[in-house]
Amino acid sequence: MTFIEIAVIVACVAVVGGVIATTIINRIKGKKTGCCDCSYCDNCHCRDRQEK
Amino acid sequence: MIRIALAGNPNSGKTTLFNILTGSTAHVGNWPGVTVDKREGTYRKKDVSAVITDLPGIYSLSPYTPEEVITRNYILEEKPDCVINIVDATNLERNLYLTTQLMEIDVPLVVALNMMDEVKRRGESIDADALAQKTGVPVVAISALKGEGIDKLIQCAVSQAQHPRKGTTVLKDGNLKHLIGDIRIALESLSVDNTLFHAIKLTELDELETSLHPQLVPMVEKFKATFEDDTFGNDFEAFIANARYSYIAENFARALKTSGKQTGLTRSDKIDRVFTNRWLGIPIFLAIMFAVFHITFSENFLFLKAFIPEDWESLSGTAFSGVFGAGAVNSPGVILQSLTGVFTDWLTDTVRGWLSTSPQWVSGLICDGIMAGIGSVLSFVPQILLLFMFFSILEDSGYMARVAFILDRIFRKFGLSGRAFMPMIMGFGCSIPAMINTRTLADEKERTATIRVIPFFSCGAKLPILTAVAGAIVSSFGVSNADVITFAMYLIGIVTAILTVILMRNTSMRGETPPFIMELPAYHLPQFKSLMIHLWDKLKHFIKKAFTIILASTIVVWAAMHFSFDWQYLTDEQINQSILAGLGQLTQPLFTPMGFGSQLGEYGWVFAVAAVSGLIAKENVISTFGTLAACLGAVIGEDPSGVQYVEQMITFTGATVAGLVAFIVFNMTTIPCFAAVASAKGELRKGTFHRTLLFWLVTSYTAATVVYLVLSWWWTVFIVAAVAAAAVWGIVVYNKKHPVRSI
Repeated sequence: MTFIEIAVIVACVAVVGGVIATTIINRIKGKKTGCCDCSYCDNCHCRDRQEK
Repeated sequence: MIRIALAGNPNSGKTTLFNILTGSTAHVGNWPGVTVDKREGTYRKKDVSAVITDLPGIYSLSPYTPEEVITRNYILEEKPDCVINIVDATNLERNLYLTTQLMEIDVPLVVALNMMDEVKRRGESIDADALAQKTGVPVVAISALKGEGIDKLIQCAVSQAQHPRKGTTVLKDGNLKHLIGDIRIALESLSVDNTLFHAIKLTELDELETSLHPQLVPMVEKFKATFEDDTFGNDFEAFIANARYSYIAENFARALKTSGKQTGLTRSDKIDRVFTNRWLGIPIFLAIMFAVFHITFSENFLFLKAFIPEDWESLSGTAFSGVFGAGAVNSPGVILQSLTGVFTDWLTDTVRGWLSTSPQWVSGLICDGIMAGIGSVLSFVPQILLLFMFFSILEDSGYMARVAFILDRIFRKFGLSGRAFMPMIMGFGCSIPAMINTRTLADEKERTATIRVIPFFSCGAKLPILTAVAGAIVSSFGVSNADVITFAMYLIGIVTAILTVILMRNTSMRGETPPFIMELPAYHLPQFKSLMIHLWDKLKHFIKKAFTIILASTIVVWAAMHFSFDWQYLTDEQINQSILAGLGQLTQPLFTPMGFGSQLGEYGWVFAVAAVSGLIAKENVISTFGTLAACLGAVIGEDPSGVQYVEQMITFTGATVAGLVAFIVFNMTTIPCFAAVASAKGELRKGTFHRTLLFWLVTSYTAATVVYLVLSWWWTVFIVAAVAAAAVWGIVVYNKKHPVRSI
């Protein structure tokens, strides 16, 4: 395997792994969706809501 | 660090002030109810630092909707060091109603007279000192929009925060004072804070208050019974509201000095005579929306095709060939999109050149996988930004609030109030904030119905699907204009929303439609800064998504397309044996009734794959097409580029116009992206949420199947109509036998 092949594989694994890991960590922390940065509500839907 | 809360009526400018104080870019809009949750930011200037909390707008401290409860609870329970009451100075009397209630709480209070620039423009003036003297709290004149008086306001708030303040009331009636006094004594024995405020709320028999102190309710009832006939009349709450307004009119409102030059109708009133006209309102709204879509999506701008030679092509023979049009003139949106396409093609070719000596799979993954996938989505960003610029202008100018008013007449017939329109309009941007904004709806059933139909209002992420597939229909079948198809698809989304609302409000969610009272804000020119903030938010959102979830998805799609189930690497020519093809072929029959399943050609499974990948993020539909088309380009011996990736991919599979339209309808109405689903889960009860998922699935399947059948075989329209008529008849008969109990 050449250097570029290894670098591409590592980068791809990092990107896919990073997205999956972030989703899992957000769930564990109680951030249910991850912020969509829409600025309407700051981080309100990332907060663990108690009232319904 | 001191804590300052911003409270006031909806659309009084709290969030504009919050943004100035904290340097935030929170969304502001010219309509009541933009803020539905509290948000915090930090103010730092010289030696002053404070935590600023922006609270949802309220008309009184007797809340009816969830976001109004947030404001009341924050002030009473979190006990900020000072409350700044933002008052819309152009509507002084009505805004001071809330001030009289805030004055009853034991909290330092400063009144900020906002929109003073507008007051001056009207030739009026307000004596802030006289108002301060009458109310007993400091009053500062400001203009949040122009940043005037902000330093003085914050200095005043910081100074007030050092001195505790006892609540005062304007309710001076002798008997009422007697009643309030007695309740206060009872509350003090229970060690309750803010006894004046709670006592007054108890005399009003406020729902929240009576649930907190049920033991005191009989005492209030007894007092009420004593005075009801001779003093307070039948409606005790109305009596108190009236007492407040009378006091405001007699004392506070005198601070307002009018020039006497007014002719009666303001500029906004004159515009509204046309825009909210009973007959002209809706045609004007449709014309404005069509103009917006025409400027953004048309490849026949201003319908000039008839006057231009068929063989004309702009900048022919250059890299920018056809950017400004070919045989017709492109609209500004299409020109921007074409330019982005030229840039992404150039970038892909350059990178392909750099990677010419690297292994084939590396070049394939980076150029045909990642760059084709992300590029196909990013090329639509200019059009999306242009569309949202128009939406922002309409929203900031105050026109969208008028549309809610116009549509209330129609919505009411279907079981929704005009208030539900605002979250729906927000759904054109993103379903997530739209679902959260439904908190302004007091009625639970109306709220659930609104959340369910929000995804039918095509969000920014679905726009690339609409534009690309509409473009493919035009270029491949020569059907109509792309902008007409896009506009029609938006209308189909709205019609589906209306039909499903009618269905829900006549079956599982029967009930009375709550009344709709909305203050129409004055028209004003949109602020450039606010517009840029909206667009920046949208751009940031897309870029962030493109380089996280879409990037990850394109890598997974490319990998699944180039490996077989026994983990052998496949070339582009072998992708029909890939994992992706296998999974696509497995799910393909499910889409057959909608016209993009088993009836398609050899590579027809790509539609199934694209539709399923769209459940993660809707942009994935087009990025998946882009990746697949780039790889298939090698197979079919063509070298497509930019949007053509998508168009050629679609036409290559042998899809019909009916199947393509059904594909759009399915993607527009099916289960939205993961983030929106999670948002709906947070806003709905558990059982309702599960039924909502089912609702989205059934609606999209039914709507897409009906569209496919009717467009493929016109006579099926009679069968569809007969089934619909039978269903309506069944519902009417059932509802007659089981009438809804009045609320």
